[in-house]
Parts: sequence; structure tokens; C-alpha cells
Amino acid sequence: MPNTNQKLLLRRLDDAERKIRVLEDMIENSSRELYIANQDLKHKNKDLEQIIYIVSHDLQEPLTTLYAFLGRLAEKHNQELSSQGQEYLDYANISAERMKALIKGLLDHSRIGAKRIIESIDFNKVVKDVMLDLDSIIHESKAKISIEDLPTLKAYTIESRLLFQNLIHNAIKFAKPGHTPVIRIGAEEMQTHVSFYVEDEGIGIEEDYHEKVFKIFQQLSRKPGGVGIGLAHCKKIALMHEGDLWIDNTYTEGCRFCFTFSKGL
Amino acid sequence: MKRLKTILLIDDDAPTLFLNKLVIQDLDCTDKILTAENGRQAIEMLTEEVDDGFLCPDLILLDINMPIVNGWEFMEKYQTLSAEQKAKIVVVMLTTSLNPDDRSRAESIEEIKDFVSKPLDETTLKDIIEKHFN
Repeated sequence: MPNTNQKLLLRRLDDAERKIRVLEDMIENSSRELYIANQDLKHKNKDLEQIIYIVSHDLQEPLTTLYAFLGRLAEKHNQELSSQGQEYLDYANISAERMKALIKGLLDHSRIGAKRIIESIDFNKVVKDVMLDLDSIIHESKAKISIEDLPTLKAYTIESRLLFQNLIHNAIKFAKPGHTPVIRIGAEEMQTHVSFYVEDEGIGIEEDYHEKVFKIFQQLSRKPGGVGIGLAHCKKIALMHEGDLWIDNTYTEGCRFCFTFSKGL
Repeated sequence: MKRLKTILLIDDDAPTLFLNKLVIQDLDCTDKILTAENGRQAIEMLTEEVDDGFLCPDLILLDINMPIVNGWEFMEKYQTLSAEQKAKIVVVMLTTSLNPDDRSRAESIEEIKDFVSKPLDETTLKDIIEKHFN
């Protein structure tokens, strides 16, 4: 027969076991809810990308026809138009051109990561390849680009290239007028992530816009050939790598973009 | 450039059909232009017996995204036509799709001879005719 102390201990043990079972149930329920919420979020993200793709594709069709008719009007009926009519036609063409670029931007954004392939990548090579792609712009602007030794880690190749390409291209595009673009690229290994940076000595971005520039179609200035989606692409790519992208607000010589990639992909 | 007898345009968009007809007329490359608003109407035209057999347009310009029967569904039905009829027809997909999957899907279908981006213009149409009919 157990004595009183033993009985007390057994009762406490029973109580503790019951509490553990309750906690285990709670954890199981929470895990299940988290799993369902996660699946739901994945579905919603997929739906959203599908919608963007369909909308941008279906918008393209009438735009293409509109374009063709504007072309015919300019080509075959130009003589019949007054100078004002020709001016209207020019503006219609400019607007159609812009809409085409916006739709393409949306389509490109929806496609980022659609066919992702993960592999071990030497980021020195990634940046070298991007610089080859941008060779004519680098040459033309006489940009000075210095690159620290970059790590090798598992990442999505095409998307990583696109990220560096956009950041380097931006750094050249937004150099101070009359100044040669100066760009520095480097990386630092953290415990769970690698932190990269691309910094320049360009015109910089006011702190008020540090969040806004990563949103789709947000431009701080209307530069030819851009619609304001490049940085949204970059943000999406960083998030795909379980990291993030931001502008370093302590850097004042121009602009420094920092982004992290998880080491555990 | 060889002159064709009939071109069949399959597209649900009236302005696009109008534009394509203008381009064909400008190039003056065919005797007749037929149009269908979707894949079902086109299949009905191809499977309905006419004077001496079935309709065999020299060239079909086919859109992908259409209501009722889209371009891919049209091709499934088209594949069931007789080899004799199909041998007389060249099917070219004409689309705004920038999706590389659409292009590779079209390339995997033997009966689709070409995949061309909209809008159709005289140069593109001339290229199609010279490539497939000379």
C-alpha cells in the first residue's frame, strides 16, 4: 500500500500527465490550424498569380489590335489627317506603348519563380554573368563596379541573376547627373542567412519612399523604358529565398540595397 | 508568292477578324476569306459536306483563347479529321500569348505548322505563305 506521500506524488504525477495531454492536444490543434492557414495562403497566392497572368494576357489581346489599327492609320491615312489629328495619333501611340509596357511588367512579375530551379550557385559568377549582360550599358556609362568575394549557396539561379541585374541597372540609371556611376557589391555570412548589398553613389532615394519603391508600378521619376516594377520583382525574389530586401537608411552617399537569402533552402 | 484559294480565320474578337481580313486583302493573296468565331463553328465548317467533299481551306489562322471551343480544343477535334483533308490544310496558330508553354504545346502538335505572334501584318502573312506554300 502506498503511503500518504506516495499517494500525493502519484496524484501530482496524474495531474501533470493530464496537463501534458491537454497541452499536446492544444499543440496538435494549433499545428493543424497553422497547416490549414498555410495551405490556404499558398492557394490564395497561386490564385492571385493566376489572376495577374490571365488579366495581363487578356488585356494584351485588344491592345495588340488597337496598336495595329493605330499603325494602319499612321501608315495608310497619314496624309488625310490634319496636324492636330496626327498629334492625337502620336499621343494614342505613346499611351498604347505605355500600356503594353505595364502589361508586360505584370506578366513578368507573375512569372517570377514559376519555374524555379534551386541549385548551388557561386554568386561571383552570377554577378559576372549579369555584368556581361549589361556590358553595353556599363561601357557607355563608364560605371566603376567593385565586387567583394561573394559566397556560394543554394538559390534560384535565374531569379538571382534578375535581382542583381535590376539592382546594378538601377544604380547606373540613377547616377548623379554628370557623374560616373560608382557601384560596390558585397556580402556577409550571418547565422541563418547571407546578407548581400549593392550600393552606389547616385541620387539616392528619400527615406519616405524606402517602402513604396518596392510596390508594383511605383516610380519616383519617369525614366524612359521603365514602368516601376523592377524593384517589386527584386522584393519577390528575396522573399522567394526566405529573405527580404530593403534600403539601408543609414547610408547617405547614394543608395544601398540590402537583401538576405536563407542558407537553408 | 503563291495565290491561295481560301483562308479560314478563327478568332472570337471582331476587331481582330476585321484587321486580319484587311491585311489579307492588302496582300491580295487569296480568292476567299472565311471566318469562324470559335473552334466549334470552325469544326462545323470543316465537317459539313460541301459540293465535292469537305471544306479544305489552304490556310487556317487559329487563335488560342476563345469561348466555347478554344484553339487547343479545336486542335483535338481537328486531329480526328481524315488524313486526306488535313494534308490539304496548313494550320498556323496566331496568338498574343507570350507564354513559352503555349509555344512548346503548339510545337508538340504535328498538325500545327507554325506559331505566330499577333498582330498579323503583311510581312508576317507573306512569310507564312512563302514558307508553307512555295
